[in-house]
Amino acid sequence: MDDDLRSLLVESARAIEAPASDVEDAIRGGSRRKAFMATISLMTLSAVGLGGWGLAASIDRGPGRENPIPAASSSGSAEHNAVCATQPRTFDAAVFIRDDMTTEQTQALRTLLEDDDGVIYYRFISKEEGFQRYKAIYEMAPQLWESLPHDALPAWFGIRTRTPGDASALVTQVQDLPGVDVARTGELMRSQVDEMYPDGNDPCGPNWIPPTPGETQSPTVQESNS
Amino acid sequence: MDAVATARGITLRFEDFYRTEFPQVFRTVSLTLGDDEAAKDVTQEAFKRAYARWRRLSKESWAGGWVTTTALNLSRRHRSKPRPTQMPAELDGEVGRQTDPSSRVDVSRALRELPFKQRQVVVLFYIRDLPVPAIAAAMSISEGTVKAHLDQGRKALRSLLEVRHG
Repeated sequence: MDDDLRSLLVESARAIEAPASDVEDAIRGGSRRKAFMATISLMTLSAVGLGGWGLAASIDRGPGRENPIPAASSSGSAEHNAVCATQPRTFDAAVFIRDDMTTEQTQALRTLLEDDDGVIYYRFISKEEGFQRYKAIYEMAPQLWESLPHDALPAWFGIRTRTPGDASALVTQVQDLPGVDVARTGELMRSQVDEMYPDGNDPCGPNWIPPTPGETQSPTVQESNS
Repeated sequence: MDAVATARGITLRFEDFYRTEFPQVFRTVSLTLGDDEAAKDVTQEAFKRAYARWRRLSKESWAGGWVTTTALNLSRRHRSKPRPTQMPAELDGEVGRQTDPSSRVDVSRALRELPFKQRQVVVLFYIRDLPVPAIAAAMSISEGTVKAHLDQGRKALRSLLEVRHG
């Protein structure tokens, strides 16, 4: 039953003529440095201008329903997993709050999340916690954080929903609440993170492999022939 | 063995891997993307990343799946701008044999209509012939999630292709 589908896919792929490509194209790519600098520019722009939502991260110290979040990368170290598990990409939705959000407004948002049966977990990440985690992730690239004020990144709520990937209704519900700056679905955030990392070097992405001792820690600046 | 010899050995092994895997990764990406030029770009970029991690990646049985997954991830940027079509207009809508251009375009279009993760799992399973555990490792997701994506993707793809082919 399954063989016909496999056969169709395989034959369709085989019918495609692969172009000539020299291995030198892959291992002598001179664009790595250029890509790294472009990435830095994009990240800095994002962190300062767009709020840095894709980069903020925190070890949980805040309130919320305490369901453990699975690690973002099974191939990563414990520390890497702990950091990346709290990145927006592991949530189904993120709600970024305004600096002037009042206590009452915050409580109203919490109450809404607590009362929503579709929400199985949420976590609050403060501006300072977000900055410290951002700094930890990019410790090897101080250009990314040394000039940023500690309050450059917004505070936010990360939310896991009962049906993964089905957070659009919740986002619509909360995005106009007083004190909420912007709410995003996880899918939208992931696509925007991918845009920020044009060569796929998202350190908390699914393909990240931790550096071995002695290697440069940044996947982006890692030099293959060193 | 000195450092230069070691580096040369690593490069040689990577060359073997590249020669074997490049055409397969390219074809997989091209089919799912529907754009040969973009497929070549992202496939090369994926191999660049593989080379940068080759000391670690070379020990993994799922290295080919990793490169394919990486190339497919990179190809997401091209989702919104695929080529309008790769076949002559007069063939559009015709039922073709499995390997003729119209069939390829149908399969390519159907794949692009799948949600991204489903598409990744389907091509890794069917085209790259990777077992579920290897797909899970390459994509850093659980085997259960792979099976769920595979089941949903299989049904959706079959439905899409049946609709197109009447």
